[in-house]
Amino acid sequence: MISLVTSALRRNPRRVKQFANSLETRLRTIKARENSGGISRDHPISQDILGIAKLVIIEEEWRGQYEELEENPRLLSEWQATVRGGELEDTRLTAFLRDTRDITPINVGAIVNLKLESDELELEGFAAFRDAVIHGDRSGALEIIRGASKDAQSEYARRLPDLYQRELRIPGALTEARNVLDAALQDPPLGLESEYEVTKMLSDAVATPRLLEQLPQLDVNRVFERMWQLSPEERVQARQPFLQLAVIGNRLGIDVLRQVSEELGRVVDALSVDERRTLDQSISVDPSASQFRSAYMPLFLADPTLVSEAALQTAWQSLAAAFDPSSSEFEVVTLGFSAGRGPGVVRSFLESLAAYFSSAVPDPVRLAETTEVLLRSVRRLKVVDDEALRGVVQTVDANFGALVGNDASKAAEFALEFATIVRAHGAQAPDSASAADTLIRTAVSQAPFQIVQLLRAKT
Amino acid sequence: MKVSDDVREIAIAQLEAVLPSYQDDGQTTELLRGILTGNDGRARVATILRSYATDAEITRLGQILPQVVAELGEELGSVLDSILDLASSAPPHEAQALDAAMGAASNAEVEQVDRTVALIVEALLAGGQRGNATREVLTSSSGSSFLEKYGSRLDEKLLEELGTRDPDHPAFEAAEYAARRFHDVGNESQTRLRTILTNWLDSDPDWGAETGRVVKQMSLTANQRRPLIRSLLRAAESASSPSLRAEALVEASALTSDSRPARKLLSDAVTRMLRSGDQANVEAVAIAGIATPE
Repeated sequence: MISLVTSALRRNPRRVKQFANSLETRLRTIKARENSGGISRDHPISQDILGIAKLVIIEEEWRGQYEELEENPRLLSEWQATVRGGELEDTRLTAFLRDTRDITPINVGAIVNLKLESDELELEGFAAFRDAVIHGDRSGALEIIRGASKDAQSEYARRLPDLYQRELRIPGALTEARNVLDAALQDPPLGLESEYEVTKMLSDAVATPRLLEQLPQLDVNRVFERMWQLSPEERVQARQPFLQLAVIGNRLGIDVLRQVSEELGRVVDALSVDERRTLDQSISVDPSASQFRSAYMPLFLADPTLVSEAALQTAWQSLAAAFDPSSSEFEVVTLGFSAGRGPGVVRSFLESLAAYFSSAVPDPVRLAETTEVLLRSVRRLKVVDDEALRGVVQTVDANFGALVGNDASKAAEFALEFATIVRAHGAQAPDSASAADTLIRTAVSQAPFQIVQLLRAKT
Repeated sequence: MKVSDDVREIAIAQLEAVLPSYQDDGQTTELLRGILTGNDGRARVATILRSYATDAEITRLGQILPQVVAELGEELGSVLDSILDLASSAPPHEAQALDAAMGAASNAEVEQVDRTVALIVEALLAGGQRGNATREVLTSSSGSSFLEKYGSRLDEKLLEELGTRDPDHPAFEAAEYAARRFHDVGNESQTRLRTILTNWLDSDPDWGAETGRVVKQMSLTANQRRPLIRSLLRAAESASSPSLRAEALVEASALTSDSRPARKLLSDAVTRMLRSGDQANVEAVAIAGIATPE
C-alpha cells in the first residue's frame, strides 16, 4: 500500500489524505453494496483493498483515463500489457502502472461502477468466463462451464448474445465481439443451442463491416454452416471476406485457406457472377498461387473453370520438371484441361503420361496406381492431341500383359473403362479411338473370363 | 465403371472371335454368357449353338445348351429345330440329339416339345437298336427331367401311334416301354394299351409270346386280365404252328394262376384243343406242358 501511494502521490500529504478519504468512502460503499446484495456476498470484492486502492488512485490522479475504465473495465489489463514493454501517452500513468503491475483488481468493473453485473451475481465465475470468452480462450471458458453445477452449465452460453451486444457497443472491442461470436458458434455447452440466436449474432456481424472482415478468423466450417440460415443477401455479404483467398492465405495460413476452399467449393454453384469474378481475380493475381496451390484444390475440384490459364501454365512448369501424379500441380493441370485450358500443353502432358506408365510397368504397386491416373487424366481432357493420346493407348496395349499379371480382373475393368473414355474423344482423336479398339481386343484375348464377368455385371 | 455400348459390342465381337480357341464346355459356356449380354446377344448365341448341332459336336451341345437355355428366350426354338433336324437326319446321333433336345426343352416352354416327343415316339416305335438307344436316353438326367415335365404328352403320343399302327406291323418293344410307364400311371392308359394288344393279337394270333411279355409289365386285376386271357387262348387255338400255339398257351396260363374263372377258361380251351382232332393243337398242349384236364 505504501509503495502504491508513494508511486502515485509522491508523499504529498494533502493528496495522501484525500486518497485515504476516498479509499475509505469507496470501501464503505462497497461493503454496503455487498450487504444489500448489490454486490454478491458470495463473490465479495471488499477484501481486495489493494486493487480498490489502485483504482481510487487512478480516479484521483487520472480522471480522464478513469472515465474510460468506467466505460470499458478491460482497458486496465490492456494498459498493463502495454506498459510491460512500451509507453502510454501519459508517462506518469505508465510509471504508476509499472510500479503496481503486481496489483490486479479482482473485478475492475464492480469497483469502478460499485456494482456487479447481474450475470456476475447470478452465475458463479461468470466474470472469469466472460474474460475467457472475450479473449478467445475457449478451453478456459469451457473449463469454467464444466466446473459449474449441471443445472447452471447451459446458462453461460445463454448469456453470450448479451455479452456480444455489449462488446459491439464498446468502441474498439471488435476482436472481443468476434471472440464471443466464435464461442457462440461452438457446440454446446460453450456454444449456443438456439440456432436463431446464433444466426442473429452472425447477422449482426455481417451488418458490422469491420467485424465482417474478421469472419475468416472464426471457425470457418461453422460460419459456413450457419450462413445457410441467413437471408440470401446476407449470405452474399457474409461470403465476401472469404473470397479474398490470397489475403486469407497470407494472413491466416494455408490450413485456414484450405478450409475456406472446401467451403467455397461446396457453394460454388451458388456464387453470383460478381463473387465468381472476385474469386477468379483473387486466384489469378495471387503472386503466391503456387505456394497455396494445394489449398485451392477443393475449390478447383468443385469448379475447374477457376483454374486460370496462367495457373495451369505455372503448374505445368513444375509438373514437367518432375512428373508426379500425386502432386497438386498434376491436379491443377488436369483440372485445367477439363475446363478447356492449356491446349498447348496437352501433347507434352500425354507424352509424359505415356512415359510415366512405361516406367511404372516393372513395379506392380505403381502400375496399379497408374491405371487410375490414366483414367483420371484422359477423362479430364477437353482438347485432345490424337497422336499423343494414341501413343498412350498403344503403350497401355503393349504392356497389357503386365496389368493382367498383376490382377486380371482389374486389368479387364481398366481396359474397358479406358477404352470407353478414349473412344469418347473419337471425334477429335480417331486414331486414338482405333487404338482403343485394339486394346479392347487385347483385353478380351488375354482376360476373356474377367471381361465376361464385367459385361454380365453391367447388364 | 462406365462402359459404353460400342466398347461392349467390340468386346463381344472379340469374345466370338476367341470362342473357337476354347474346347472346355465350362469355358465355352462362360464366353457364351458374355456374348449374350450384347445387342442381339441371344440371336448371336443361338447362331453359334446351331453351328454345334453336328455329328461331331452334338454331345458338347448337349452339355452347354442347358446352361444357357434360360437366357436364350425365343431363340431356343431355332436351336432345338437344328438339333431335331440332326436327330432326324443322322440316325447314329439321334439319341445324343434327342438327349440335347430334352435337356433344353426341360428348362423352357417351347413349341418344339411336340416335335421332340414325336421324334422320341418314332424312335421307340422303330424298336431295335434305335429304340434301345432312345429308351436308354429317356433314363438319363435330361430324359428324366423331360419326362417329368412332358411325360403325359409322350404317353399320349405313344398310345396314339400304337393305336393307329397297322396290326400287321405291331411295335411290341414300344408297347413294352409304354406298359412299364403305365405301370404306375393309371388305368385309362393301361386300358387303351390292353385294347391295342388285344387287337394286334386278334389280328395275328402268332404274337402270343410278344403279347405275353408286354402284359407281364402291367399290373392288372383278374377282371382286367380276362379279356387278354381269352385273346391268348384264341391265339393258342389258331396260331400258325404248334410252337406258337404253345407259347400263347404258356402266356395265358401265366395269367390264370390266381383266378378260378380264368383257370376255367384255360381248362376249357385245353379241352377244346385236345378234342378238336387237330394234331397241331395236341402238340401245342404237349409243348406247353399244360396238365390235361380230367
